[in-house]
Amino acid sequence: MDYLIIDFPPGTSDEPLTVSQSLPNIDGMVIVTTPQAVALLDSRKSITFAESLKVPVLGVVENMSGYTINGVTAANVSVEIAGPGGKTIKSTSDEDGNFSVTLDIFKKGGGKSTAEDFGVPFLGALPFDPGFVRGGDDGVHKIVSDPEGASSIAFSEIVKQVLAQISDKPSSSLEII
Amino acid sequence: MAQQMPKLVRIERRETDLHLTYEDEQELTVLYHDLRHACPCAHCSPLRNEDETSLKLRSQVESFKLHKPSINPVGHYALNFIWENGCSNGIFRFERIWDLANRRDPDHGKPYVHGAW
Repeated sequence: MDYLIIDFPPGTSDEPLTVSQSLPNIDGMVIVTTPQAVALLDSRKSITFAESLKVPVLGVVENMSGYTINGVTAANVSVEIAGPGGKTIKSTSDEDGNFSVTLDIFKKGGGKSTAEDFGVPFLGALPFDPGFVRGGDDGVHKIVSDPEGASSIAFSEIVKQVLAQISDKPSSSLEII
Repeated sequence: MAQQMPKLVRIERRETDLHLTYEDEQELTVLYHDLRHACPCAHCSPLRNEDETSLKLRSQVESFKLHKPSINPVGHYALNFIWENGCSNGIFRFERIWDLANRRDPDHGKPYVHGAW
């Protein structure tokens, strides 16, 4: 086995505490959060929790960060979408009539600002992609079925950053005789 | 200003104490009796709140036959010492062991209160 990744529920419950106590050679913790304030409260607690247990925080990932809608209309026209919070989102179609707009359903930027506040790396943002849901139900992950898609590229960048940190890390074994 | 705690890299279990080697090459010791008296578990900690019970705890740990404990790392942050008798419940943060090695009160003068974090 190359890597073991354990997915925890949000917050600082018994599960992460027990695992942090039971596994002496954890490479680190990745904090995955959605951008809205309520989720960030838990994420901040998780970072403090990790620091208290001397588990390195590899970084923060902003999940469900923007839902992109692609459409087709007439060429070179202005498009307006009623976005979250009554905000109007504008776009312009290209010469083929293609346009896209991104809706920040859970707000935006909370993951990055949290990472900055705590001085830990911001690993990147994953878009809100219904393809992940369908892939899960169909048994073929979106990253496998669409490796060149925006979500796969964003995911790969995050993985690269995590791997870079883990492989740079010196061995930290304590000798007991 | 308190000295920054260096990383503990080696522990040698000797007959009566731990011999600790830190990353900055400091070599320090902690007597098993001191270690056991400073057990941070919820049973032993309140006993150190009062002089009388603290002395009783000290007498109790000194009555145990000296032996080398088993040591289990607890995650990245602490050690657990397993003794043949008495209490083995304490999770000793590395900061606590560092305080003991430097002959400082690991409780920093604060009485133990159940549930106070």
